[in-house]
Amino acid sequence: MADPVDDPTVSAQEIAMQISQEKSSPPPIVTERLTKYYGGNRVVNGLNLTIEEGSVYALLGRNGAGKSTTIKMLMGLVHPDFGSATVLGENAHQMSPETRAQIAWVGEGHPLYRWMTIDGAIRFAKPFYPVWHDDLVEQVIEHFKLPRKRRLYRLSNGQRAQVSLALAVASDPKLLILDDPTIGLDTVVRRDFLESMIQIIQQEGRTILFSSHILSDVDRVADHIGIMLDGVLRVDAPTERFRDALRKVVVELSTPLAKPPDCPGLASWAQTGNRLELVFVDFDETHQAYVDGLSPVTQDVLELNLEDAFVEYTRGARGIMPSFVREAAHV
Amino acid sequence: MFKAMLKKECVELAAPFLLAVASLVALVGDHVATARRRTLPQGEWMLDDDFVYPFLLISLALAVGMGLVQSLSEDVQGTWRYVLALPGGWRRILKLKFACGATAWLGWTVAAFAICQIGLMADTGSQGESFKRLAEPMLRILVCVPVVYLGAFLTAVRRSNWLFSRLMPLGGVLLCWCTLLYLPNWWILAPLATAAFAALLMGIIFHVAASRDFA
Repeated sequence: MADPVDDPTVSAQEIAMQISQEKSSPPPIVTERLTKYYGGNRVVNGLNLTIEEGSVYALLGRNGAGKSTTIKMLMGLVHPDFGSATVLGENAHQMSPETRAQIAWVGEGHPLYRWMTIDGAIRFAKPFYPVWHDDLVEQVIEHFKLPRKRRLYRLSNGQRAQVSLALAVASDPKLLILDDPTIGLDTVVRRDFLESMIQIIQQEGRTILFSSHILSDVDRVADHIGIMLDGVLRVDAPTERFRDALRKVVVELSTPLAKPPDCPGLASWAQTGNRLELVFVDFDETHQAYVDGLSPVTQDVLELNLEDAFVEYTRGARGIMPSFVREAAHV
Repeated sequence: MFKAMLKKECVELAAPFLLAVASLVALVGDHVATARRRTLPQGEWMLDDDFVYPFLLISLALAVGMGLVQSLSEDVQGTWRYVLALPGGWRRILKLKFACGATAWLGWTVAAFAICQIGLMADTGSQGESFKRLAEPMLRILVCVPVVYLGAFLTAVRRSNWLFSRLMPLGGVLLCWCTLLYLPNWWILAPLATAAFAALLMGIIFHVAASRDFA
């Protein structure tokens, strides 16, 4: 498509209006210092998150990191104790039905009325939405060969996930929020589910936020990731940027280190005998100099895939862990 | 949306409702058969404690069952999250649930009177009694029991770690309900007090739902 700035038929006023509209459209998800306590535990701690329109954002973290609570706060199901969450320009806890109609949510464990048949679940959900694409539901049902007359409690976890997906896409939502949608699914079903999700993503302007434990899935789908540790957003970066930033340096020392390694940008380390593994964020000359200073017998610098990068990053000591949080909203 | 919710609620309320109807049919059948054997005056069994107290128990069980089915079952199935994430808005969803509960209660009132009327027709006692006088104890129960339904609803909506504290709203409502039954100037005061109490309970339910987490 031609850039309006280069198009002589478009007036300067129209361009200004278009730019102003683009700028005025708020990001679909914005949280400011979002905090939630359960009992004495701070499960989400001052979360500042901005997800831009059209982004596919994966929220990662170990069990209990605060991912699900964050998603529930975004859906207005859980009250924050502090801070705010804005979804499609509205306070998450006071969303109008019109705004809710533009959001599709697939909850952890796929909470649906299990006594309903698939057809019944579709008939139940349809009247809630002003827009409903029967053809999209049909496509998903046909694609997964779901038995329409069967009750949901008689379906497998995977099939229930597929029904949830069918219901979620039918309303043609601007924002899709999925809370660990592939949990408990086998590899084939998971892959099928994700491929369907990718098809949905390809529709222009749709924003997707999903949490997951399965890093290979995230690598295939997400363009941005956020990693939460103990309720704190430690990483908020493009997927590639995170994956490429971490390097594992494996060194063989003549004698084991007497004290723990200490170097800026060191995410985690492990020592077994004379073998020392160091994981650095943004490995550079400073880090290389530090490694050289250890007088290693041998050394290897290894690239990590997303799963390894996640594991290495999240198992580091919290206090010294370098953060990856963007200074400004990503584009 | 209204129809979809109504249909769902009707399906979910059908089991306790049909169970209550079946229990009442059995109760009335038993009393009619006994009255025939003992040649009691027609319809006298409807004033008998042996009928009124079981009817009271059935009505209470139905009210508690309806309240729990509408709220606790959403908790147990994890479907509060689903239904509240739908674009209906939680206030409207709760109002629809109450409307369905009220409709089911009206249905129970009609069914109870119809079953007793049929029982009376099958009764061959010698002296006829006016149905209005015979049905008075039932009517008293039916007018006041909706607050128990709301108490049960509140019990399940309100979160609590301990069973005892969780059951407190229902216990409190049952105590208040007992007083409602024995108010002076009953036909004037009881319906008004019931309506006011029901409005208060609905207000509390809305407040609790607005402030609790549906995690």
